[in-house]
This record gives sequence, C-alpha cells and structure tokens, in this order.
Amino acid sequence: MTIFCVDDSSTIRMLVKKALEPEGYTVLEAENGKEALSHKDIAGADLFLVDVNMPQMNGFELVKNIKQDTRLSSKPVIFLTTESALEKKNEGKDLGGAGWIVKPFEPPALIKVIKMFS
Amino acid sequence: MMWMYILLLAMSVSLYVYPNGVVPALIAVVCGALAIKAIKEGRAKTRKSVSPTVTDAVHSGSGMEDEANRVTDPRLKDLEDTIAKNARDLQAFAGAREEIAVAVADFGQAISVVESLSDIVISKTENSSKDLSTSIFSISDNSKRVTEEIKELLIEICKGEDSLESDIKKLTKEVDKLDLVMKDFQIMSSEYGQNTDVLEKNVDGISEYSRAITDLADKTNILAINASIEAARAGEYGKGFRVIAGEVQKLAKQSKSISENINTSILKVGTQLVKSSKNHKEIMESGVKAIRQSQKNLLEVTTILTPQVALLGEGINESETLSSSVTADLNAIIVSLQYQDSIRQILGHEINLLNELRGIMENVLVSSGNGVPKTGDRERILDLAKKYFTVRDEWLAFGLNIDEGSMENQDESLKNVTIF
Repeated sequence: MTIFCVDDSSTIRMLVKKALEPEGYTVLEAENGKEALSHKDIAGADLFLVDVNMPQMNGFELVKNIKQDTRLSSKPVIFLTTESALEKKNEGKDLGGAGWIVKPFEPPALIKVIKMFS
Repeated sequence: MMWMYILLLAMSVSLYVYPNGVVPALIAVVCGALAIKAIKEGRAKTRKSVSPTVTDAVHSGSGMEDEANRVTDPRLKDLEDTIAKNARDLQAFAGAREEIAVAVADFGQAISVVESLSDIVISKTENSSKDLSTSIFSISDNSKRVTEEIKELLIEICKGEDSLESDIKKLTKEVDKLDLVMKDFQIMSSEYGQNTDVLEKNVDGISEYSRAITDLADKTNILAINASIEAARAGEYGKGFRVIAGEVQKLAKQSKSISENINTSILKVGTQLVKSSKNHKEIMESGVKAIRQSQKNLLEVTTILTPQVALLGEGINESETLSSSVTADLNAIIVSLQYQDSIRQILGHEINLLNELRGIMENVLVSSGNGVPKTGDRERILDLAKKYFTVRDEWLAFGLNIDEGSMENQDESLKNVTIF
C-alpha cells in the first residue's frame, strides 16, 4: 500500500516514513499541495496524509483538487495537522476528508488509522 | 495633559526598543494609540477653546480698539496666553506624533528582523531534529538488528531439531540407553561368572574321571601282573594266557598314560579357560564401571545444560521484551520530535500577530493625519538588535561581520576551537 505524505515539515515527513515503512507501506512525499499534484507517482497513491497549513497550496486546496481528479477522488484523505479546532475539522470533512489526526501523532495510532482504510 | 502624552510616548518607544515578545508589543500599541488619541483630543479641545471667543474678539474691532481691549481686558490676555500655550503644545504633539510614526516604522523593521531570527530558529531546529531523528533511527535499526540476531541465535540454540535442547534430550535418551546396556553387561558378567564356575566344576569332574580311569588302569595292570604270575604257574598251559596278560598290562599302562595326558590337557585347558573367564569378567566389570561413570558424567552435563537452556529461553523472551521496549521508546521519540513542527508554526503565528499589530498601528497613525506609513531604518534596528546577538548565525543571517578572532586550525575537527 502506498501512502502519500504531504507536509511542509521534512521532519514530519521523515517521521511518517519511519513509522510506516517498517509496517510494509511505501511512502511518497511532497512539501505542499502544489508539489503533490505534480508528483509523477500521485496516481499510485492509495491514501493521502495531508497537513493543513502549508505554503503555496494548503491541505484544503489540495483535497479540493484530489476530489476533482477522477483518478484520485476515491482515495481516502486523512488530515495530519496541528489544527484541532472543530471548525477546521468540519471544513476538512466537508471537503471529503476521511479522517483527522492531530499532531503529534503516535506511530501505533497512525498505523491503526491507516489500516482502517487498507 | 502634556505629561501624560510624554509618558505614553516614552512607554511606547521604550517598549518598542525592547521588543521582547508579543505582550510588550501589545502594550506599545495600546500606549501609542492612547497617545495619538490624546493628541487628537488635545487638538480638538484647543480648537474648541479658541474658536468662539478668541476669533470673535480678534475679528470684532480695529487695531487701536484691540490694543485697548487687550490692555484693559484681562480675560483676553488669558486667552492669548492659552492660544500661545496650545500652539506650543500642538507643535510638541506634532513632534511626538512624528516620533511615534518613526517608532512604528522601526517596529515594522524590528518585526522583519525578528522574522529573520525566527527563520534561523526554524531552520536550525528542523535540521537538528532531522539529524537527531536520523541518528536515533540508525541506532534503533542497529539495535533491532542485533536483537533479532541474538533472538535467532537463541532460538537456534533452544528450539528446533538441531538445537541444544534437542541435543540434551538426545543425550538423556542415550544415557537411558547406556543404563540398559550397563544392565545387560551386568547380567552378562554375572552369567559369565556362573558359567566360569560351571566350567571349573566340569573341569574338576573330568579330572575326577581321569583319576578314576588311572586307578582303573592301575588295577588292570595289577590284575594283568597277577594273571601273568598265575599263567607262569600254569607252565606250558598258561603260556598263551601269559601273552594275553602281558597285552592287558600294556593296555592298562597305555590307558593310564592316555588318562594322565587327558587329565593334564583338560586341567591345562580348564585352568586357561577359568583364567580367561576371570579376565573377561574383570574386563566386563571394568566396562560396566566405565559406562556407569560415563552415564554419571552425561547426567551431570544434562543437569547443568538443562537450566542453561531454560535461561537461554528466558533470554529469548527478554530479547523480545527489549525489542518491544525499543519500539515503545522510538514511538515516544517520534512524538517528541513532532513538537518542532509546532514550534515552527507558533513562531510563524507570533510573526503574523506582530505584523498585524504593526498594521493596526500604521492605520491609527494614518487616521490621525500622519500620512503614508514610513519605512523604518533597518540599519538602526540592526544596530539595536546586534546588542543582543550572541550566536554566530544571528550575524550571518543579516550578512553582518563578526570578529571571532583567529581560528585557523589545520585540523577540520577543531575549526570552532581557539587555543589561547
């Protein structure tokens, strides 16, 4: 299963990778929404882990694009963000998000959530 | 009111000069706003106090009459003093407002400097977190690999067909088999001893027969001698009988000789057999003793090894526990490292808030008639900021030169070292 992690923090991307790869997941990375959409392997992603606050294109904009792309619209999107306000969560849900994880994440919890969509 | 305005202004400027976080900045904004508000109110009051009375008075009469009025009417004199004072105040307020505008502009530059410093913090913490993460994951990977190898080794030793545990079980079976062999040997040894006794008795019996045959031969010989004597007495008639008696005597002697030879041979064989049997018995007993000792030794070895294997089994469990513990620690580290991302965002939020405050301050200044916001003096702000710089990267972030003395070491690892 391929997970596409989109986060402007390289540390977070690395931590996600370190948490998921030992479990057998392949992790793709992008720094922001714009970079994610132009990634050559985006169609191969099975699930998106998306930060909300990112430069150039934030997580919400990215999800809008994902949901409009017929190749990607059925792929689950989980927000992985420091944001925890209900208002933001509802916004993410309305955009078609499948879940919301507030950072800092715990690897077992992240794995458990991803397995729900495996 | 003047003292208050000056105080407010002084507070604004002093707080701006020491921008140590969001709260002082907020206080600065509030003080600045209050000062500007007070200035505006002062201007309004001045206009109000001047408008109805003074203008009326000034425009009401001609020069001479005015002079006369001025001299005679003390109220007019007071009003003129008030106008003059208010004019001076207004001038002072205008100066203060100008200073506040400059301070707000400098505040904007200060935010830019703080932003640059925040970028350093973000960049440094991010790089540091990444390096730290890489090292931790490397340690963890190595630890996991070593633990797995130890575990595999322990499993190989403790479990499976070729394991030490299996070898000990085989050894225990062999010990049991040795026990059986030893018992068989004991039985054989015992039977061998009994057979030797039977052989000895049989040899003795044969000796007895041999002696009986010898006795019989002796008696036959005596009988033959007597027969010869009797044949001699019979003279010519006993001549033939004497020949027979002589032959019987010869046979008796031969029988005796054969019997003696048989007896000698049997005794020799018997003695040899008994001796050999005794030797064999001793060898068997010695073998049994050796087997018993081996069995004892093997039992001791299995007794020592069995708890050792059990301990190794516990080692497998411990290595599994250790592996779980490493994973749990790693998860905790992963959580901790993510706070760097939060710090980055919080710093960004602080900068955003400061920028918003600067915008508010500029708007207040514009609305109070100060015109277009000014651009702060970056060089002056940097001069102020430099007073607090202690980290090399702070200077480097603004392209400033820093005198670090001579640190020309040939050894790259000592590049940050100065030997005095």
